[in-house]
Amino acid sequence: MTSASRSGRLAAGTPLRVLVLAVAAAFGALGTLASAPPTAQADGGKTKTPIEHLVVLMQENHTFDNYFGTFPGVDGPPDGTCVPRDPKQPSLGCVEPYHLESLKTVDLHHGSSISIQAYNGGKMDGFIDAQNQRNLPGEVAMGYYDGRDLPLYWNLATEYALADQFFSSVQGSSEANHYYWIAGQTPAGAIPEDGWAFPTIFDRLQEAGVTWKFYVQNYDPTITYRNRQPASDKAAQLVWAPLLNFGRFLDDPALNGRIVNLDQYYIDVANGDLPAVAYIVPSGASEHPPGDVSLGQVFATSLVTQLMRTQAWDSSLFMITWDDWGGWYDHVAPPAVDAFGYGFRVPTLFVSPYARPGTVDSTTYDFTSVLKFIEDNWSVAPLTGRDATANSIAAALDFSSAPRAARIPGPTYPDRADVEARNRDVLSAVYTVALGAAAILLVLLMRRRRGRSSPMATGEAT
Amino acid sequence: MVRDGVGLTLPRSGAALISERGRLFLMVGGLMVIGAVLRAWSLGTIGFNSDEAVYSGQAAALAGDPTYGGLFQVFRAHPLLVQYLVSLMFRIAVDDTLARLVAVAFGVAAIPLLYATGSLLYGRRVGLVAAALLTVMPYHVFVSRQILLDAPMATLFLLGIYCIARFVSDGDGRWLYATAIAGGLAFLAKETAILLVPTAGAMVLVIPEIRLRIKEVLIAAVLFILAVSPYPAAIAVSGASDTARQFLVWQLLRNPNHTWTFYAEILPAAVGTLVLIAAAVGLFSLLRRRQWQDRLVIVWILAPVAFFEAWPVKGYQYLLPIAPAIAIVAGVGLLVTLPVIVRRFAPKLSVRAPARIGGVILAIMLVTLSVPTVAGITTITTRGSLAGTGGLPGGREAGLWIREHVPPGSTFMTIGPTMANIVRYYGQRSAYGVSVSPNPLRRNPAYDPIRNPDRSIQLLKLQYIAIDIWSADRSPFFENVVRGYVTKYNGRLVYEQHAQVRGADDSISDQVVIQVYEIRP
Repeated sequence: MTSASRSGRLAAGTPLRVLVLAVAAAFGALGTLASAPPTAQADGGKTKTPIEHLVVLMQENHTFDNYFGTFPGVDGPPDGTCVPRDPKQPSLGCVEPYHLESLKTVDLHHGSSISIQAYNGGKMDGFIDAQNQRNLPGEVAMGYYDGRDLPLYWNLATEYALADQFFSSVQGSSEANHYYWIAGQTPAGAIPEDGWAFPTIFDRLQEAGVTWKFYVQNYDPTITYRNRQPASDKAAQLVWAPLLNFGRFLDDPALNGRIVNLDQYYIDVANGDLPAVAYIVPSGASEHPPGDVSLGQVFATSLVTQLMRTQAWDSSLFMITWDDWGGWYDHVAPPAVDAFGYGFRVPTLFVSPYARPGTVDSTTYDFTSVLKFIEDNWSVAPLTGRDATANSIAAALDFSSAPRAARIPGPTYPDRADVEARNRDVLSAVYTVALGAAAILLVLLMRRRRGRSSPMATGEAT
Repeated sequence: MVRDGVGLTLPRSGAALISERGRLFLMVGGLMVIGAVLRAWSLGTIGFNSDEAVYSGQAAALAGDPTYGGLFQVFRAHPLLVQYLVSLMFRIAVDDTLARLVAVAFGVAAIPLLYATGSLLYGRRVGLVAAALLTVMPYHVFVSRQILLDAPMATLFLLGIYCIARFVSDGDGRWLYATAIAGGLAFLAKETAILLVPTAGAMVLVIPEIRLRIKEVLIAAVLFILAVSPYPAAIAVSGASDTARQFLVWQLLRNPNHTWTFYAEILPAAVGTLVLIAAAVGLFSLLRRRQWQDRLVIVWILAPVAFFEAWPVKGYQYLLPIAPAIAIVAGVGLLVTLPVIVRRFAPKLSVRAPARIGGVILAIMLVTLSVPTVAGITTITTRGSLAGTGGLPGGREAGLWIREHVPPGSTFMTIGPTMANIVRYYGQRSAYGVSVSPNPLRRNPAYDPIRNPDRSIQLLKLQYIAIDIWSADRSPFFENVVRGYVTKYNGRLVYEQHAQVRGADDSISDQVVIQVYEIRP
């Protein structure tokens, strides 16, 4: 298990940078730091760690326990876990975590009000009742998947690093968490006419001359906050790609040109044009219930695989995370860092040549930990107090060793099973005995013939 | 003076006999050296072909290499004697040349064994001529340069024939027991050696000199069963009884892969046209004499030929067990029949003339055998060449590139099992051939089909495609199928392997022999 104390491998910042961080911490969640100009010395992409490419994929709607609660060595539901159907009426019994038989399930409620109900003041026992109250099958919330259902993810976790204390940034659903992911804060109220104005990590990177791209699966550039149609089946693009709610990211070609369709990711990776920082959001394969989770893992793994097949792999970190809890049970009460968060734990995989096989990283993270890593690695200023004080995801990696060769995750879990080893030993022994006995017997039989008379032995006749 | 079995004179006096034995020893030893050089010369220049890759992969797995253990099932229908012997070499190092040296050793061992058999049947000179012919025969040299099951099996088959001949000549039951053990070992090398049983049975029927005692037969049967017992043990241990049954059903129901004239077409080049003519001439004498030796040799040739003509599947190397018999009969033709013909049609020639004519013809035969043998070792592989005739140019190099550059855990689609086996052995990556039928009755049960290629690609079960010209030449249809997937799934060419290849018009050119594509859904 990886210790939380492993963080801090990055080089110490300059005094000016320390001052900036102190200011950021002071203003904290208010986000007042957001409008401050970047003060960190940027040098166009030079990194503090061997990671020159960070790719972050944000999938949808699953808790840690729902995906990895039974993974070996993690902080999963303790033995005897049983969540009451109604915390106020224990006589109704409880439901233990159980293996889900279907890869497609009902879309459970997962907004902020229901998350508070599930949280139940830290007792973590309201998950079933909260859904039942909304006429949804609350027992489903106790279901989980494992290696049978998610072999690609489980094999990635086996071969690389899995974080088991990664929390969503806020108690709530997708939109707020996506904003934390790009800006360390979430806005309130309606979007202004010019879109949101607060800075994002991409502003920082742009100003620092660090390359970045925001890849959107099935990207439709005509869908922006300016023509937002909540009833549209494509409205999710604005939730999952929040940059489309910022006027400058629509109007400035230098910024807008970096929001591209996901197909470009494959081209960029193949051509060696992968940017320093790449955010990826899905569309159809997001794993958002009622979608098929197996399709989502294939989608995510195909992105990872593409990176593994290039030279960029040696200097990359591909992170797969999930934006919110999705209504699923998780047994760990999230720490309270401010009025909004943290939210429930979400699974997070760190796939990198610097992730040691089988690492379970128990450092406390949230989505602003990604920002923290970017800020540290590419020397750009923090955005808010949240990211300024967050643990960097660099703690999940081990830069003391040379980069490891990539290993493509297999379609079944466990990936590598040498079940024939014992059989092979038995077969070798059988053949050794048989061949040895036959050879000895043959020699003995032939030797006994020597010296005997044999009327036709040579085939010669007088 | 004495006359040997075919009427040739040999010195008999003590000192002369020692001298003769010494000369024979030197001559047979010399033949073994020549045979070893021909079989081991540039042995590792070209990498394994498909079957060699499978047997070597099994051997590496038996040697305890976990990488190969996951890629090659230990039980794939054939017994494992050869793979076991190669595994002993692989405990030193997993190396192509070391593996092939096992086959070379069996190939070279066949030379003195054939001399002994030929001597026993027709005298030392026939034995010597037969051994000389086998030493340079392209068929025997090419097959025993590859780590296939056939060369070891053929040598053990020859050992079984020698033991039968000794049993007939000596009348001692112990030689029957030795026959049973040799036959069992031959079966453990390759199951088609079971032919030795009906061959021996036919010999019992046509050779009245053979007198069997029930006790001896029972003991021989028990020894044979004990000798072959590792084969069912392997099936049981591997839990592969279903695979074994499916393999038998598949073999019985397979569509013929060649016409019935296949062996007639390949044997002249493989064995040598002059050798076949000499054997035909020798056969004339055998049919006229019909002594026990003649009957034994005729059955030795006819039983395998009849079986493999009837068997729907034909392979270049399948008739290797009769190559020594052909060499013996050719020796009889040269040393027995030819002098009779010469004396009859040219009675005025000197007494030594038949021997001189025979010597000249033998020299011509050895030269005409040696030229294609040496050429086959040193020259460039021809497109469309038969399976079993040599290695696969470019396969090893492409496989090693895959091992070095393709992430572990990747899985390949190939046209057929040939390239799949190369990718597995050299590339150490899983690979499956599209041409492998999903119908269990239409495929070798050792191979897994890709039941739904589209779905497999979309579910990330396949990440790469490897296309080789050898499989493409054999299966243009499946080449098109595979190239269709390259186009459909964003195929990106990441590697090309070139090799010198001889075309149908005999021109040599540098060609792309293998292409590796990345694919993604």
